[in-house]
Amino acid sequence: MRIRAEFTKGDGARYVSHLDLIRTWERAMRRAGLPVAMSQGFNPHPKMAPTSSLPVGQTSRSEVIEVTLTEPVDPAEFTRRVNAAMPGGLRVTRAKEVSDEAASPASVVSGAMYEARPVEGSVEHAGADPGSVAGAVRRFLDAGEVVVTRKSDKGERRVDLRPLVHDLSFEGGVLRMTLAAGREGTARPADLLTALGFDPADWTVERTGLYRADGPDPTKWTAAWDL
Amino acid sequence: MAPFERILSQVTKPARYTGGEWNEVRKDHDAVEVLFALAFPDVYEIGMSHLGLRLLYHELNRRPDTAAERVFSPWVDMEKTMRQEGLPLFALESRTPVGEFDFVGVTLQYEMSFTNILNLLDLSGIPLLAAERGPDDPFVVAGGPCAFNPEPVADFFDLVVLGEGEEVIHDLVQAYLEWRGPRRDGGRRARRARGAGADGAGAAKDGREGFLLRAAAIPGVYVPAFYDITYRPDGCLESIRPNRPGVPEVVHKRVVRNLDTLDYPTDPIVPFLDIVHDRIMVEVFRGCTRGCRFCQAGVIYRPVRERSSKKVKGLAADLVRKTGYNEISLTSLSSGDYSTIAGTLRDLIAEHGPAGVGVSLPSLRVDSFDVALAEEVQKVRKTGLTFAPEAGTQRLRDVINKNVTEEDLMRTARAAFNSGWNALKLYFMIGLPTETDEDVLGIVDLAEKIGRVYAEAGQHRGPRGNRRPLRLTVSTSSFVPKAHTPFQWEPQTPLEGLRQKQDLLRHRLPRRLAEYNWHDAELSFIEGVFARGDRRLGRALLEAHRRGCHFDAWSDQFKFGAWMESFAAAGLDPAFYANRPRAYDEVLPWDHLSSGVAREFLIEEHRKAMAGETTTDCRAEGCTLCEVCPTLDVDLDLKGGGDAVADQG
Ligand code: SF4
Repeated sequence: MRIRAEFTKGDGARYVSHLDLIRTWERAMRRAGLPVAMSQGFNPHPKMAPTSSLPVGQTSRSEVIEVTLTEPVDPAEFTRRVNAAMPGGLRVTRAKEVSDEAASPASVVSGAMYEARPVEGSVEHAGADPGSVAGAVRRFLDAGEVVVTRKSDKGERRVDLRPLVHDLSFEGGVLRMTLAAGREGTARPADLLTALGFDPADWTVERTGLYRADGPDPTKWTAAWDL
Repeated sequence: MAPFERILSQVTKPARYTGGEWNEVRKDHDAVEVLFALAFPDVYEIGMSHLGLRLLYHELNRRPDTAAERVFSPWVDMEKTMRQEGLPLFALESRTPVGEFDFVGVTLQYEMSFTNILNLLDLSGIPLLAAERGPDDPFVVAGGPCAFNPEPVADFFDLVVLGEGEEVIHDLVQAYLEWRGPRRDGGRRARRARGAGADGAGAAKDGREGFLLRAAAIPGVYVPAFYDITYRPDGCLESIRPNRPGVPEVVHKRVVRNLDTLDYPTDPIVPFLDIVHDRIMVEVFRGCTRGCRFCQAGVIYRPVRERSSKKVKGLAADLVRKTGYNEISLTSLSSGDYSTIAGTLRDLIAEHGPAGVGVSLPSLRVDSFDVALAEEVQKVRKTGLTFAPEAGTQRLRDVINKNVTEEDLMRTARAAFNSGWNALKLYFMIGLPTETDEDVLGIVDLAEKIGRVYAEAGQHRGPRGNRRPLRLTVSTSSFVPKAHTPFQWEPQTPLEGLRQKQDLLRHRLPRRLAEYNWHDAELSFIEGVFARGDRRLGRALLEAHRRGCHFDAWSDQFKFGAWMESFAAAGLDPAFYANRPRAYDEVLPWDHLSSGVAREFLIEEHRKAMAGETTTDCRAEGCTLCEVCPTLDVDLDLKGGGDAVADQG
């Protein structure tokens, strides 16, 4: 039985890395007594598919994971049992059964929405008075291209960030961003904050949703949960 | 101060500092009487892997009147940021500064963590020297194996607990409550007033010393300040004498008589981070009486007391449910010696294997283990095979009482190869008493013989028919004479000698046959100084702390030069402690601390070592009169008598 669950990663789990999060899910499933199907092959592993990794330090209001169980479980019961077995900071908000034919969020998601807020007391570091943040946002949106350097094990790579930023606004002290996240490219909130001239350490970032673009029109998309 | 998030965003692995894991215990401080910080002076991943810390966490938090919280050494980057931001060291559960606790218990797991202890106190804002602590400071308590010679750190501790902590920790908390009296208002203010005389409670009348006197009356508790040490002109100790009435001449360790009656934690914390021992740990027994003469654990944890197989299996089942781990590790000093090991393994594998939960034995030492058993374990999970012959020749193995013969080794190796293993690790020590080049070269000889056994064993084909070569690893550590062992009178081989022995192996062990790893000899030397050091070494520790020595067991942090400067600045000669032979009648710095094992037994074992005579294991062949049982009124406790039928009950 294939179950899709939406969960939040709150303050208590902010610093949990992607790998640690998956391990936490595996253990929570065992504590909950929910039998996860194992993959076949030389090195079997539990069939669990998180949609997109979340960097250390970020929280989320809406993550989506899919779990294949060896026996049917009522989704409400699934939610209740997992939540009773999850450490603080991680909480399933809803779950549903999905058919075997349904698209897998992990393979089709193409974007993510985030909210960034200046860390308390760091306004002076961040230069985050509304005027300057709004100005930086405007300059970014007006730019034809914004090339940033990404460091990885393989060396440095230059990427144009501009086309990967689908939407950006600053309102009520909250910086909202809609960024590419998938096969066609990924923009990380930290990259964007840096490109805006801020120190990412001065901001707390929360993911608010994952979605698949339904076409070239940026206003048309489907949330990962609804896929 | 910058908000916590900002600090954490600048360091590696911030999850080391946040707590919030599954099964963490958070208590309302206003609802408890005593705050107890349990500190492990190394990083989270190492400290959390330590069973002793988990046992005490459980024991203390079981008390409704006590909140126990964890403290670990911040890694170098976090320490730097904390110092920059003026953030004092805090406990993970409540983020309360360590200095606000009533007790700070520190695990003395290895000598090379001593500088981290000073750093930990320093980061907490607690005066390093016990003598300088005032009414607002916590009582700093030591425990763990190095507590059996805590003299180099004696000046930094108010109290030291010898032996197993599960029972004595309650005595300590109880004595504290009696001394301080009940808290008069809710919260921290009263605690801050402890011993200050603010409210006329017991604490008021006699100050910190009043509590220490009460604590010194508890069996197993050692108060360093209550002993005067005098020295002879040649630098050796002259005497160790209590300086308060009623303080015991000798402090004996504490032991738990029957492990089955202990309340073993079945709801341990399950970390988010991948820690060193990230699995269920079920302790199957304490103590080891194989009698290896270099081994301190083999003396200080005596006698052997087993947990019954029934209890072990019950705990394992409970732990699987409550932790969600997929691996059960049966821990002890040498789990292959557990009297009901075969039946216990079989039952555990049958019960949990189908659910994908494996069973493992830490440091599977095949010399004490039969390969058929190893295979049982390997069915579920592949781990490496390890032999620990410790010495290269039979003569030297007899000296150290490592009762393993070459035939044993070859037989187990052959069986292992025939069952498909092609990787083997061999552990040895160099610098053992009476060792010659011939003994060192015996290591090469053993490795070559194992290579031949592998060639003879024939078919070495992998799953796809590929040829699989033997993967042999030879590792050497350098022998460090330890307090309370038969070799406590032996000099440590000087640095130069250790390096020569390592060079000999580097040149003579064929590279095509085996990979050779060796431990840093300089680190072993410093360890050797502190393992049998006295109180004067506290000065060297302070100097080393000032010179930035910390995380000394981490080779990239170890600063040998700074250590040598520190000894010089303290006016101490490290060779005096490490490389000098000691006479049987010399007063040893730990003579007032007893593991229960008789000094006469250790002397006899030392004499037998020099004569190349071996001693048997009292589990198999009767009491060898080490005296720990009558001295501490405890018994060797084998629950199964080696018979798998016995564990059906
Ligand atoms: S007193 Fe005898 S039985 Fe007890 S641990 Fe020592 S040798 Fe073994």
